[in-house]
Amino acid sequence: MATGLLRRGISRVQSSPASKLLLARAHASEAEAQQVEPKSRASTNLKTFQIYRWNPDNPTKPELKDYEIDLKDCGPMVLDALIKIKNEIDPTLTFRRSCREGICGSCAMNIDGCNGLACLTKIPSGSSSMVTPLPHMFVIKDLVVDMTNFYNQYKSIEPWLKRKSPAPVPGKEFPQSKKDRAKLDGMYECILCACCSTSCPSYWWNPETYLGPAALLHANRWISDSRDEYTKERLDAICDEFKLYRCHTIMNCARACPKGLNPAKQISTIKQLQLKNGI
Amino acid sequence: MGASTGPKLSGMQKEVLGLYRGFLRAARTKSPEDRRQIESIVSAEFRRNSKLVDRKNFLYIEYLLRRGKKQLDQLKSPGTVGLSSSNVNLSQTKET
Repeated sequence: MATGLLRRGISRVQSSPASKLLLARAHASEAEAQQVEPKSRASTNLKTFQIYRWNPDNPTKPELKDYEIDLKDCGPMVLDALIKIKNEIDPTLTFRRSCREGICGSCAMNIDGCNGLACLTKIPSGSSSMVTPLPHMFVIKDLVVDMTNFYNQYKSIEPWLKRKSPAPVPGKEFPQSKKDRAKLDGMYECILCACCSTSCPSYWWNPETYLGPAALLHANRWISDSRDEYTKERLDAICDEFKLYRCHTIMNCARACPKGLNPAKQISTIKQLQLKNGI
Repeated sequence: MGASTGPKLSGMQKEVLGLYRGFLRAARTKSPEDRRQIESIVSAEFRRNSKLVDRKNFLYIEYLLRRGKKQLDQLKSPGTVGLSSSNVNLSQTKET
């Protein structure tokens, strides 16, 4: 297509030297394309994806279904493979995805035993990979899990700015020094994909009572905020044997986080603040 | 204490009945007309699934319970006025 367009353009301005250059280029790319095509046809790189399937409309036992795709004809990430399978092999495959660049947190799933975002995880080398939903979460369908409890826990830490005194300039924002702002680095980046919480054994056993790394990281984000005036109340609210102290510094959260954050470190910061608070 | 005379119920059966009761209680907060409609839809859904679902299919019953709880939470909010259901004929789509 592109070369055709070029040629049409060239026929109109054949006398100029630039057109000759373009012509030469068009030929070169054509020759290249001819060389590449048979190559890709000859060597394929097949890989099997075992994907967890469960459909509530046809309630049988959940199963792992095998899909074989050619990696030569597929993008580099697991999400590309899933979209390819959905497009070309099985349109009933269900998963959440949106931004495909690790900013929305929709495509969190368990890939070869490790939690991660499908869009940020490279397709593992090897002939076979397993893709399952986030562990210890209720499955709604295939790779889609029920995040209600996770979101309610996030809600329970009141993730918004709370003030006792009015703004310095009414109707305007609350200013913050660069140093105070820097305290939020390593926390504000969290996209609530639930990779960390669902990798935590402590969270597996107490999903209702233990808040989990993600919610606690956000709790610390508001505790550390220089503009927030409810620091003490926030600390008191989560000072609980279950809510906070079910964290046994297993550190799976830090390994799982696709954004490279360290929730365990933030939880230990909260614990230290609790001590300082004299509780 | 009418429960003592009835059959002994399993934990899951109690949960299902509790959910049904929750729906009836939530329906009381709506207008009389909506209440009647909610009650008819809810009871039809429960009766349909009681026949359709194998009583040993715990995985699916638990899924339905969770779904029901979510719907009940939605119904409970004052913003929700009623409940409606639409019939989609699945037989055609399934064959293709």
